[in-house]
Amino acid sequence: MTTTAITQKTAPRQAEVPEISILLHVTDAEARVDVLVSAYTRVLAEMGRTGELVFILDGVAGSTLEALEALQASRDDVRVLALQGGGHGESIAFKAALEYSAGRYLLTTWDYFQVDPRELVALMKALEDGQLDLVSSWRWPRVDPVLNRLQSTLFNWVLRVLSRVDLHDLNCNFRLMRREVMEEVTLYGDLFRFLPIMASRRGFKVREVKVRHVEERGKTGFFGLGVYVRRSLDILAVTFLTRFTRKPLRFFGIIGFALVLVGLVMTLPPLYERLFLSESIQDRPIVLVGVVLGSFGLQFIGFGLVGEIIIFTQSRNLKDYKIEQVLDSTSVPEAAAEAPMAEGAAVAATPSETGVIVRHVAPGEDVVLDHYVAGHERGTLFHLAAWRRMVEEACGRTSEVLVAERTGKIVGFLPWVNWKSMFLGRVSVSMPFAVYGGCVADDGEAAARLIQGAAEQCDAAGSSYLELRHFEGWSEASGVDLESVSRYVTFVRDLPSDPEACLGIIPRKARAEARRGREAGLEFVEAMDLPLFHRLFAANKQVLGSPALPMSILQGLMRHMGDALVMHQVRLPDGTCIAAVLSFLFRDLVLPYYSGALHGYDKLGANNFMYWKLMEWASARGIARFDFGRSRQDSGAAKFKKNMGFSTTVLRYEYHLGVGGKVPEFHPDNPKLSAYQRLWRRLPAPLARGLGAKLFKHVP
Amino acid sequence: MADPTPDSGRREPELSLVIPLYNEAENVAPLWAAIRHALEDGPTFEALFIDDGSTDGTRTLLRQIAATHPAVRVVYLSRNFGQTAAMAAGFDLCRGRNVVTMDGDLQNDPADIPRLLAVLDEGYDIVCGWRRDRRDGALTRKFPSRVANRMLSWFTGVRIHDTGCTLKAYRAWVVRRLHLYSDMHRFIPALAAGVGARVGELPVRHHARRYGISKYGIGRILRVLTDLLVVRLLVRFSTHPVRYFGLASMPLFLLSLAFAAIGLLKFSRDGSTIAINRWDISYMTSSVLVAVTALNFFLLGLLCELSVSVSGFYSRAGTEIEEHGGAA
Repeated sequence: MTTTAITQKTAPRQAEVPEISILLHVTDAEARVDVLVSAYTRVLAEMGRTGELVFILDGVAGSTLEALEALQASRDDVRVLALQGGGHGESIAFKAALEYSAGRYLLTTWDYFQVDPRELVALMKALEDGQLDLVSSWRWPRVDPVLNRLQSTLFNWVLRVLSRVDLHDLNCNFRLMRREVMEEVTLYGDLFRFLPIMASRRGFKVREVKVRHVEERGKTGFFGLGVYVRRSLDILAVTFLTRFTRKPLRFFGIIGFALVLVGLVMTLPPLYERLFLSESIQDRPIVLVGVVLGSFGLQFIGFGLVGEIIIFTQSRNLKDYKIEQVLDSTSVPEAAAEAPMAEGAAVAATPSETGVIVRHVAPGEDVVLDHYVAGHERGTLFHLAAWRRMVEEACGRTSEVLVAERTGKIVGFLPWVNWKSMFLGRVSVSMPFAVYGGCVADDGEAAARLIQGAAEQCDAAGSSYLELRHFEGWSEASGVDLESVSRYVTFVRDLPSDPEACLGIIPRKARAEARRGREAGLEFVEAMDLPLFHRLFAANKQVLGSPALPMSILQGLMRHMGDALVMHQVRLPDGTCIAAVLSFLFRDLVLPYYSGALHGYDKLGANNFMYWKLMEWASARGIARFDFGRSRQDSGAAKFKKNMGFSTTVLRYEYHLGVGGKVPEFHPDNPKLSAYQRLWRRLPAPLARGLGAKLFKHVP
Repeated sequence: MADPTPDSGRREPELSLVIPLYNEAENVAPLWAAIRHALEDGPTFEALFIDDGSTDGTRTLLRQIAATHPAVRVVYLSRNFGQTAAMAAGFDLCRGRNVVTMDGDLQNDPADIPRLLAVLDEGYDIVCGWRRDRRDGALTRKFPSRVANRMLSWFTGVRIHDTGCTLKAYRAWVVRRLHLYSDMHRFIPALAAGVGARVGELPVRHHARRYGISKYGIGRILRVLTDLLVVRLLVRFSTHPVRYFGLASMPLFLLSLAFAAIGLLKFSRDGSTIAINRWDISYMTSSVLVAVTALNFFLLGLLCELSVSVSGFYSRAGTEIEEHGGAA
């Protein structure tokens, strides 16, 4: 095909590269060139796109050529190619035009209006909306005679079945495609009509659009035997070329095996009769037919195998891919300068202008993140991988983690869990069961990108909000619009380095309580006993009207955070445990997190005693700070902590609200819940324990 | 994390990672982090990401990563060509002395790479990952795969459990030798064994897919099964196709003789006496037909020999061995 010489006519390329090249295959010496030009120019203008018209003259001279030459001289968006000789057909004509056209999109069409030119708009829309590579047109309704339509329908149906490409009108060449399609798909002879099939089999995305049929030229009536034979062989060639070139045995083998099977069916019964029943002495032609078919079949398979060998040994010459660009250390700088967000894909992991990449956590990266948390002032123990594992196990959900990186260095991360609660619906929480959480980041930009990324994902997951349990808020530093809620306070203070001094830092009234405990002979022991603790804790919680955490979570805590978890008991002189506290150790902090006490020992000051002793214990072990944990502002627990000599720090929980989301009001102070709380308090303890375990998983 | 290979652009790295990617925007960055993590104290390496025409932002991310890490090379294919083609592109462009291929979807764990390389150094040319504990749908993925693997090892004589696992380590000469096309990447171990590679196996971790969607299906596996016949031909007989075809034509010659016998002889009802019959024309003609087919088959074998020798596929073997010697 490339040998086709072109005797014409290249106008200097216009300064601006056109978007759409309209390729017209001209075979009619009387083509109405001016009408074509004005019609297509008008359509292009309507679409607001630049374009050019390329007339490919396939053996046409005379008035058309003259008219075109005149046009080419006056307009710079008309180009003319005259092929040497004539009757080359569409494959060669359009391939030749490829070199002389510049558009990103190519429209192939004829020298008359078979299809309304305005359909280009519809084709373009389909191509761009569907991110397609080729849009074929389906003339509907047809204007040609019934007989033509019938034959065309038959032809298209056979092709649909054989090629498995869902197209209804291959005889219509009015097609819009990206340039690459024409460049890559090899076509010759009469095969141009099969372009959509070939393209589709090569991996291009192809679809068809119904277009208005205006005019039909050419033969009407029966196409004649010759046409049918040619078309059938075309179909065969296309089927082979598109489906089996790399795998000849799949083509030959299927036919071959089928023939062998038929041959066996025809041969075996007579053979059996002949050998074992001696039934038929007379000749059995069916045997002969069967053997012939079987032989053919075997030869087919043989041909297929030969094909496979040829393909395999020649595979060095096959290149099934085309490289657009290679980036490596030498080529990167200029490449990186290209518009970074060209594709504009809204996934979590997109880089920003300043090089922060936000991405999902990598497998095996937990260690790295834990290291980062441990060295970061905003890191808390609830950011550790162990907490995520514990939560995942306790409620059967996977935690999500986004990591921010700048030049390969981790500059922040944000863990959260998508939750589905019967009370709250779908929500996302960072982190569940924790008093702190949210984003840990080196700077506002990383935080912004992390929070935005997480917010997008939570919205996508259908969460009504993303709760970030920040110690200090991020909304100012990051500039991300977040609702902030100051319902909770926390209590952290430095411990004296001398354990003896601990009693001294407790204010007078609480100190008296703590002393009372000591005088009553209470004992403070470090001893792990989860079932005991669970009993105490559940009883306590029921009194407060909240569900208690289930034993399984305690066990999970133990399993994952065992080293950082200590339990202390307060015992009566007779050994009965009346109060217990589970504390986490993290960096220089001790964090009493869950506690429980039997009812009725208030007068012994067991609680004050316990926390005083815990301070002593921590101080003796060189722990510098005591984190009393969060409480709701002005709650009883908050008062207790204040009385123990702790000052309040207001926590800045921040919320990203999804569509229709609002900050949750799900906490024991909400008057709407008080009825349930009263009910809960009246439940028998074992029932409350069992039910609480179920409910707890709904309260992240 | 410091980049382990700051100057990989100039020197030949010890290891090339070949990673085909198609719409893996969510996985790219974690994957790269995991790779760096896994190879921190390992050999010098280059990571060759082959973007198989992604449309979801994978391209931009790869560009970003390549800009900050000299060890990363990114190959953009002009559109989606499929995994084999993408891998072939990687094989053609990689420069390392050893090559590791892996999926871009985080189902393989980069932490297994050093282990694979250690096994490679024990004297293998290919070490295949074996997803012993697969995290995929049992009915749609695991079962068909198990059947396919059994049949493949039975047909080709290469005893490995999991030919479909993308995580594999190769010596460079193996990937230079094999040119992948169509679905051939599935048969790499068998084909490589056919050109003389020593094939080893190592159980590797397999993670359930976390992000994005799987791009395989059951229909693909069925086609793979039909390829078994070809693989056997290619593995066992591609050096001497005339043997394959010759062996195949033997039974046909015998069949021809049998037909002739049936046509000539007459059997009594209990089979005890055999007498010369008058010619049974059907069977005599069949005999001739089958003989012609057998001859044809044999001649096809000769044709194949011709094709193989012209292709020069095996005449290049010498240079490959030299390369191999240098690498080992």
